[in-house]
Amino acid sequence: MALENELKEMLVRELKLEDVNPGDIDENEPLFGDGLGLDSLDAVELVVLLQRHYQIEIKDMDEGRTAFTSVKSLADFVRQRQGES
Amino acid sequence: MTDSPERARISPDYGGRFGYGFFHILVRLLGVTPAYVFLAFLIPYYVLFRPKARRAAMPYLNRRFPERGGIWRFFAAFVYFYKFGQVLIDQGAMGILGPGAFRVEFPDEEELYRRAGSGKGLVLLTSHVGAWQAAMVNMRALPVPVHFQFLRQGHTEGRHFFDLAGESAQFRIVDPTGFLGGMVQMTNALHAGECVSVMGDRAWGGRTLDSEFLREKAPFPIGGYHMALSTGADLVALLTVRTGKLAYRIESHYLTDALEAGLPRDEAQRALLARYIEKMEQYVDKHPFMWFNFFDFWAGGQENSRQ
Repeated sequence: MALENELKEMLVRELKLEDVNPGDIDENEPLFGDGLGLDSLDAVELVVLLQRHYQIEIKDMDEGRTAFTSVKSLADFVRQRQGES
Repeated sequence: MTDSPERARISPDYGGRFGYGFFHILVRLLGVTPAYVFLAFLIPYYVLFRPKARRAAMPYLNRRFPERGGIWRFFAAFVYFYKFGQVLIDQGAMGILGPGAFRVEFPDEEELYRRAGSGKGLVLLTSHVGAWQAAMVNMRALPVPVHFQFLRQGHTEGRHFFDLAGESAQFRIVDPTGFLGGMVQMTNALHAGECVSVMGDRAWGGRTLDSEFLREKAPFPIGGYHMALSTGADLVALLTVRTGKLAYRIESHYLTDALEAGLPRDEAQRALLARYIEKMEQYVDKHPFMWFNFFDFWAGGQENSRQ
């Protein structure tokens, strides 16, 4: 859960999500569209943040589609990629 | 800023499959000059008997020529559609006659190649002016791949260019209606030091920023500025001008140069957009019948202070 919380805080801080408390984000809530309400420009930031903070690259759209589903899927993706390195 | 839904667009009918095929054969058999001549006879039909097409031109003509009366602008639509038709014929000719049939003057070509090869990533901000496809002909020799955000629309704009582009490993098409508008693919490309090409004057449903253009607020897409600022890539606006028969000139404006360091993201985006609009206004001032956005570009969303 530590990584999930870290990611929630990063999302709120770096994407400047006003009126969103990291603790209130459901880790299974969709990140884009309904749910947290991120959009395509937030995806740009997410790709950059993953590189900057975790040295992880989203290789293609299929990988992005899976990783960017929710905070939980993002955390699973980070753990998986860190485990590979 | 607002994340606006895709706005309804009045797109002029270019003549459908039959018209497209007719001009294709005409250019293939006789060259572009007879096609331009035939076009001159076709334009009155569009202006007089296709009110939908004429209405699509008016949002721009009304704002570009506010000092003129309605009758003058009505006749200006003839010129406007003729210029547009010439560009469409040229685009078709690119596929039929090959890029070698074009004369493309590009004074800053070396600088573009230098920037593209710098490893920083380069955002090419194109617009619906002249024939942006003419600019892309020159991109075939860039040292890195170019990822185009481009919506294929059947027989309309760009078809021949991208049919041609498909032959080159340098070109990758990014579908703006795909997952997150293709932003993941384009951001990765910039990180890899490659080029991406997005439109500066048409939003695909993404976030926009309202700013004055021809004295009235209009929503401009900000994806290009956002990607450049997030990844540290350079951003260049490429504007093409039709200078004659199958002849184009490319102007380049490096908008990220000398941008004040440390600006908050939203201010930096506004600064880049202001530079882009300044260049666009200079362009339409010099070339009033060369901006081909046939819908009410000014009808748009409301500011949202997100970021």
